[in-house]
Amino acid sequence: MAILIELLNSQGRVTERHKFNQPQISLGRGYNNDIILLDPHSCAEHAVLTLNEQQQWQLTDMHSVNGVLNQRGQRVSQQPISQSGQEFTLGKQRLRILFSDHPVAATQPLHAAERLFQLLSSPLLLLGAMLLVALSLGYEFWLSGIGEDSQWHKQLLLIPFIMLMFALWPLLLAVLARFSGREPRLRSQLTLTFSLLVLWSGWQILAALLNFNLNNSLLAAGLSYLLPTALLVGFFWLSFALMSIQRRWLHIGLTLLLSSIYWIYPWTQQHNQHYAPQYQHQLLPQAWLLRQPATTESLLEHSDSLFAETAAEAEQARAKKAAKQASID
Amino acid sequence: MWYRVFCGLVLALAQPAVADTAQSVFSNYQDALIQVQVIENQTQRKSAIGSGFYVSGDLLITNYHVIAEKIHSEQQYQLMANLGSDNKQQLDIIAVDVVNDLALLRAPQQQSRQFSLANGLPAQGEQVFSLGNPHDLGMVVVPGTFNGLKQQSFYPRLHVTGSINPGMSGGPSVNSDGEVIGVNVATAGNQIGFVVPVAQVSALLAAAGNTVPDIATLQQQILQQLLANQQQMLSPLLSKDWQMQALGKGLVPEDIAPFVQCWGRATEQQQENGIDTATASCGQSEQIYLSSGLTTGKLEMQFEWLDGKDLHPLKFNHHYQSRISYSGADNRAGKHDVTNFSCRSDIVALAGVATRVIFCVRAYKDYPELFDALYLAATVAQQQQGFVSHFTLAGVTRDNAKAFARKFMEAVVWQS
Repeated sequence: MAILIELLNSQGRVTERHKFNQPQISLGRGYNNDIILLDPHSCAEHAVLTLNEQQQWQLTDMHSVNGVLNQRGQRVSQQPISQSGQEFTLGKQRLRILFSDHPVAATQPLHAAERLFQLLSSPLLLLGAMLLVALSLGYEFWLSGIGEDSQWHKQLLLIPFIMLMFALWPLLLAVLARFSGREPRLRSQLTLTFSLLVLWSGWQILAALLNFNLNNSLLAAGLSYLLPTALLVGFFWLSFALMSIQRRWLHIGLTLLLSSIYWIYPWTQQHNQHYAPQYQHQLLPQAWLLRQPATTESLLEHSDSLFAETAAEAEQARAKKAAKQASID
Repeated sequence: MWYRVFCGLVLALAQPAVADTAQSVFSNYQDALIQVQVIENQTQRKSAIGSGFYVSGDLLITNYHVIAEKIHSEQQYQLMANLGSDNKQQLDIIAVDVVNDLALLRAPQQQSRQFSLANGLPAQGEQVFSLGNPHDLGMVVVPGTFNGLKQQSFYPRLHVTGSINPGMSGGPSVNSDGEVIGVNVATAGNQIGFVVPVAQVSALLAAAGNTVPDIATLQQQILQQLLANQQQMLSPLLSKDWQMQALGKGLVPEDIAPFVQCWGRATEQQQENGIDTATASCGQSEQIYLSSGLTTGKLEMQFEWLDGKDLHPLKFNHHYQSRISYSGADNRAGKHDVTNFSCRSDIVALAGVATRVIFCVRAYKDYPELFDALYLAATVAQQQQGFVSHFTLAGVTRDNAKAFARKFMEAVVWQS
């Protein structure tokens, strides 16, 4: 029966895999060995793996300086290999010994989004998305610049730098993937990020239309929470899928954590709503108004709830104050 | 020539006479004047000072704003009369009139010397004297000239040309006979002083009971005064037709009441930023002081006409929208005084023109039934032209706030 030796790095990841059919395999730094170790803490002739008459493999320390350690870190001079998958450390080199009938992990199906990933790696899509983002940045500059003193032409020069900043996140993910020995997929990550920015701009246009036309409606309010959240969740999920994060809980956890910024950030901002109210102030040119305006009477009628709400809040505050006063007295 | 001599003669005669009267007023009534101190309990130090004067054996008049903290946070403060040389006496509040900024106090010790109230106001130009303790410097008498009732004021105030300084609040202003014509209340700087007329003092004295009410009763009294006051202030505005004036294509009210003053301003034509604007604002100069953190009883309106015909519609709209993105209350109020604003925003047809209308209200925590209302409206832009209108009302009931908003929405419109 053939035997396999896997050399592992310090994290336990396989760096080399050797398969032998011979009854004796020598390990060490010397060039005459079957497996030539690079670890400076291993000896020239460090250990030998032999098949005895009972057809059993055993690992023998060749009186090496740093010895052979078993999985529990104990030094062994001769160790029978009774089962597949046993690990040893020679000097500092970790290795695992497997029989050829060692079971292998189940086949991983291709990621469901693999087709999407293929699409994301298309350079045309990346170029298109970047162009649209640049255009929308240019539009923002144009929109806010009025008058003779306007600097919006000059501000256009900032666009490449802003785009570079947007590229930092995909770069970070690609570098992280590279470090952990995965495919970086930088282009796909870039495409994903810029596509998100394009979709986000699209959402803003839609939001402006909704806010202008649908006031005090559950549909507009619901969409303004759900759609951006869905966009962010989708974006982070795909980002981490591109990084091929295998652990499901890590994938979900990171996605939810990063998407939650959309909810957490506004929540941490302080508003002096007793002084300056917050309200919907969306305005668009007349042509975008797609509905009949409400009547003044309906506005006034609905305002009753404002008085009722605030009066109830004041009543609560008075009750609280009275209770506090009573506890002092 | 002889005219100059004559004038000189009059001046020469007048000067000693003034000095004499001031001296006699001061020496006659010095004992009837006190300094009112609001002492913070923990530190045992003054947190506010003002002046006060005896109107009967044990009753004193001062300004409400001098003693407001005592009512606002009863446990935290004591009210003391400083009678000089370590002689301090605790004062009790008998009644207040927040609208006219008056308070009636009772001292434990009888005072034989007291001020009598004048039966009427002096003639304009007549000599008057304001008494009090400015900046804690000691009692002073300041000669001044009576200049009639303050014009354009909803809350009645006498105008006295003379130095009324902080600390003299609550002190009396007297005529040359030493009779009280009013209570010092405010200054506009540069020798312009304001005095609450004596009629308001008499009314407070007449209405006041004889017992010391608890703070809750006083607060109920204040609430009733505020409710009555807002009714009195708004009902003439609500019942009469407003005189309107054009501001661009918008219609804005002009002098809806004598106490609401309007100002206007327009930018130069063809201004650099491509949007021509004209603004008008109306407001009151006085308000009701309730505590250091809360003022009320005020109406304010603002209007703006914008014309950016050379701009792209989207560009105009972007800047137009930013004009209504932020708005705040006009009266001072802290988190402990009022609730958060609650708003309704919608596109409403005002005289057939689609308009973004925002209506916000906040309730008073200590005064049920009273609200501050904030209204902001901007017509949906047509041909890069827009009209913004805005008002705030402080300390009004729900019905009055709504009635005013309705009237405002009917009157302040785009005339196409």
